[in-house]
Amino acid sequence: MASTSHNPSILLRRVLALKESSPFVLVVDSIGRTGHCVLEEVARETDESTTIVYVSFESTRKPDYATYFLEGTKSESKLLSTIQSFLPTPEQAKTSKFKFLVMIDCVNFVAGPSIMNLVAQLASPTVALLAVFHKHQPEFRSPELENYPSSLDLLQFMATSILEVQPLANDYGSEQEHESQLQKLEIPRGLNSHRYKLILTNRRKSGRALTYTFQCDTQAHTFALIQEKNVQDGAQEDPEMFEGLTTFNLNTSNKQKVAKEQVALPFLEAQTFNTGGAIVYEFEKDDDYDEEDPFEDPF
Amino acid sequence: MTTVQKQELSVFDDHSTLSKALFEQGEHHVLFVTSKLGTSPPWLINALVETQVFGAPLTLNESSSSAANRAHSRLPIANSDKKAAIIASWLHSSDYFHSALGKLKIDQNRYQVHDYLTDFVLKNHDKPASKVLKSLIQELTMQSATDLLILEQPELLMHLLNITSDVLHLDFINPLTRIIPVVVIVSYTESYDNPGADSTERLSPDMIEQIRFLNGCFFKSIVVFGIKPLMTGRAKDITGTLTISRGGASLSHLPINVAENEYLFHTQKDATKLFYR
Amino acid sequence: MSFRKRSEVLGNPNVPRIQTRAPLPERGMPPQRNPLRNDIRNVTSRIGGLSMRDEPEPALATPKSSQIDASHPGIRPSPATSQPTAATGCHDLDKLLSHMGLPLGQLLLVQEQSATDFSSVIVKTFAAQGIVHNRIEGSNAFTKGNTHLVVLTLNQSFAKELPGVYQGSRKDVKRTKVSTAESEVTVQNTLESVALKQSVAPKDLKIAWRYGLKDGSKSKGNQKQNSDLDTFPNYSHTFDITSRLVPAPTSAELTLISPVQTLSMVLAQLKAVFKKHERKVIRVVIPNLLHPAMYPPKYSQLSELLPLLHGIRSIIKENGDRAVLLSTLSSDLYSNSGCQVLPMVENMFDSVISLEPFPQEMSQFLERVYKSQPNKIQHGLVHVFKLPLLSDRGEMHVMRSEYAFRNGKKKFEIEPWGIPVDDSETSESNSTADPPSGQQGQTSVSIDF
Repeated sequence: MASTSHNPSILLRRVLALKESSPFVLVVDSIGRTGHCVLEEVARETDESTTIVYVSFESTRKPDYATYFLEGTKSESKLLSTIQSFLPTPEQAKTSKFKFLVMIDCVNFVAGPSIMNLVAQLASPTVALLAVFHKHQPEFRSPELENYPSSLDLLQFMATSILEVQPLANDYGSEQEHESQLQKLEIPRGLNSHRYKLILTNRRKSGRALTYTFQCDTQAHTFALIQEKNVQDGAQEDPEMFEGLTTFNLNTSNKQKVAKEQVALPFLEAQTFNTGGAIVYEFEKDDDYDEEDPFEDPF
Repeated sequence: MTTVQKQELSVFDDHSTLSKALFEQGEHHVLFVTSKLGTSPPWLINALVETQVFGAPLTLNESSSSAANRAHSRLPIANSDKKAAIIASWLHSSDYFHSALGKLKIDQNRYQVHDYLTDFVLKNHDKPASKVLKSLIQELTMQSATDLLILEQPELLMHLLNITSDVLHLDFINPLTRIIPVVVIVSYTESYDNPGADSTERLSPDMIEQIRFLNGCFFKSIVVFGIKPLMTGRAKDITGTLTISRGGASLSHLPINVAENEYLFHTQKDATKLFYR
Repeated sequence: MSFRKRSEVLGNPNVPRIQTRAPLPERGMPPQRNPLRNDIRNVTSRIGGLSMRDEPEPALATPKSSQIDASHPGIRPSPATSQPTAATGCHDLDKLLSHMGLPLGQLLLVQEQSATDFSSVIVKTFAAQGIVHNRIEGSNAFTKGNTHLVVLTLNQSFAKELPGVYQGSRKDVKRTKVSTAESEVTVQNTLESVALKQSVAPKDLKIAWRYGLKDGSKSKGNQKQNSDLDTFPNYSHTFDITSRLVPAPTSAELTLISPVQTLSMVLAQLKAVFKKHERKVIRVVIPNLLHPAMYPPKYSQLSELLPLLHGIRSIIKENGDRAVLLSTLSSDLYSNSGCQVLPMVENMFDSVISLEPFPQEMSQFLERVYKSQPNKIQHGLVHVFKLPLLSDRGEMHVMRSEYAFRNGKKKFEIEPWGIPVDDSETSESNSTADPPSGQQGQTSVSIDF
């Protein structure tokens, strides 16, 4: 198993097809790119024979790939017993050759501490749990659970694979802009498109994590690895840059640098306001006063 | 603005405002309208009702007089005992909608308004919230024949009934979407400010509930109509922008897609015009 | 009261009685009492910033009908939407709302930043305006009346704090008496006074024009106001905040409701008022909403506050053809970031404006600039967030820092805001640089026009 995982694309396919021994896959999404695309990919990649139990808190429409469709409820014990009625008992599971998959379309509705219980009860070698978590959904924390980890931390700690989806940003600038718009719930165009970024974190048995970033396409079902580029910080002045360019010495000594930094630039002066940006008009003897003009300032 | 071409409102890539595909058997969808201070959405609500009644938002697309003429020449798209739309508002009384829709020459029999402003508190203040929600659902779905339900500021229920956002979603919004093909949620998002999960900023419980509710609406919806004023503030001939963008729910099972777009619009004296950005 | 004495000297027995109560013409008065009416009209007209001493009497007697909006002295159609609109008691606020008042069925919120209490002036004039409308119809006002005031407050002496109608400055009051005497005589007399006025005017104006009292541009506005005043003579009054409305409104005119009872009690009492005064315009005032001295801490919870506001909004909308509401709120207490109280409260109102008093530095700056014209000093900025009816139909009316307000004895003024030029500094520097030529130049230019 370990040998195949050297190729990140193959590893991703195995995770999506539930072939990797990963009983709890966490999908982390946000408004910019929601996790439905991953659910659909998983449903596509897995065996036809897999029984899919879809637990929905958000959608009231049964997805085509779901074998069973359950409505989520606030009561966690009730939810658990309903889900388990669709799953094999541990004895059956030993003999069953079919795989079971439980999809929860948003675990944010399950309050923090009960998530632990839910995951522990459901995930097993024969039953895979695939849960979507909305990353930027704040949660209410009672004072007695002040120091308890947040739901996201808990889930990320327990998950054997984490698939985080993000919108594919063209450049850093537009990414920043989108972020600030989403902070005010202004949804820009171009999000949730069929091309997105997927960050796979796969935990080995030892707990060591491997992280790869992919560019995905829901229409072509392709997953291309994005190589992390080591972008050098170009802002730093490199003394060797000027070497051999001219016969002049373009380098600055340390003393010169300090002096350069101490120069007060003229625009800093302008930032100290005294009279609140008033337009100061001084009347001079050659100025004539236009009495016809209604907007003329009467001194 | 006279030289600028007026635009028609199209939301889906089949050039429709409310595509027929949304109303197919067994389909259930949510549309989400967000508005900010200075740009209330009544014109968009009216346009959606109009689309249901006449087949297209005529007043948005043309001047209202010619639209009315066309309306008369057009046959209603559905049989007349079925309500084209139901509006439920926690902010406005029914008079408000009757007068606005009356100006668009929409017959009062074609739609229904549930006024949850008048005496809502007096009637429901001391009752348990679960009971109130149940009876609301019953009232709203009695006319099970309707295809379009518009909820104006259902988030007020969180405070009026003192319930959490999760309860409101699971016990009110979800049951409604299960019964009615298209539910439109119209919310006021001026005070929404979500610093995100990476921020260490502490949010007030009220803010948490608001963000959870509005985010929930986003994840449920297939399309978001974002109405907001211009960044530069008030302008003489532009009221604001309408951004049509994809919502959080998947549309992959439908033959249509959302045609993302951004319009400038100008609202004046009950008439709204759309322009391309 | 000093003017009572003076009027006794004049020997007009009618003046003191009416003026102390409400100096307003009575509807359907017998014609022989015209002189008195003329006197009163002068007061109101000067308040409007114009002198119409010699205007012909407009037909005051409008046909009475059962409909509130048609004949009610405090209701006029909005110039923007022609919906019936009620005067707020502050002329400039009426204008700012762009309906010349607050349309019936609308709720107005006035927020105020910092701990000042300028908004109480708006509340008091709004309340007093209602009482004055109620008393227009004369002695039967106490029993019948046309307007009722509801105040949601714990302040039991609210009624005694209402301001009286502005009588003009001391000089004005005196002049009014003289003009009454003049107008009493003949038409010729009035013609004379026109001539007199015209001959006097330019002399005054020679100085006046320099201070922006430009005749041409203002008279246009005056004419418009003028016609408004003819059509709606008793619509809006000017109040002197240093005086008191005498006699103070009684329970027949004003109902006090405690806002901190149980929700159903508040709403039931409010509903009862509407039922009891079926044919009247009801003006509801909620001063200092959420003020910590009046409201217990639990009202800061949205689940406590919003049902209250929602219920009140519901009652106002239900009686949308005869009710208006004004509320004020100190926004600083609830403005920390992430606090949902303000946006939620604003959401419950049809119209929202905010007063932002100037900080010390700005006030000092203005005092310096307007050293010679202390009555020009503004006290703060006015921000507009929502306008009645217009915002609700989707128009964008957010205007921040476009207006400034000034609170005076007789007027709460709102005007377009611009930072004035600080010429005290520049003139000082001028005079030190070349004192004689610079100043001579200035004066010669301005005088030889």
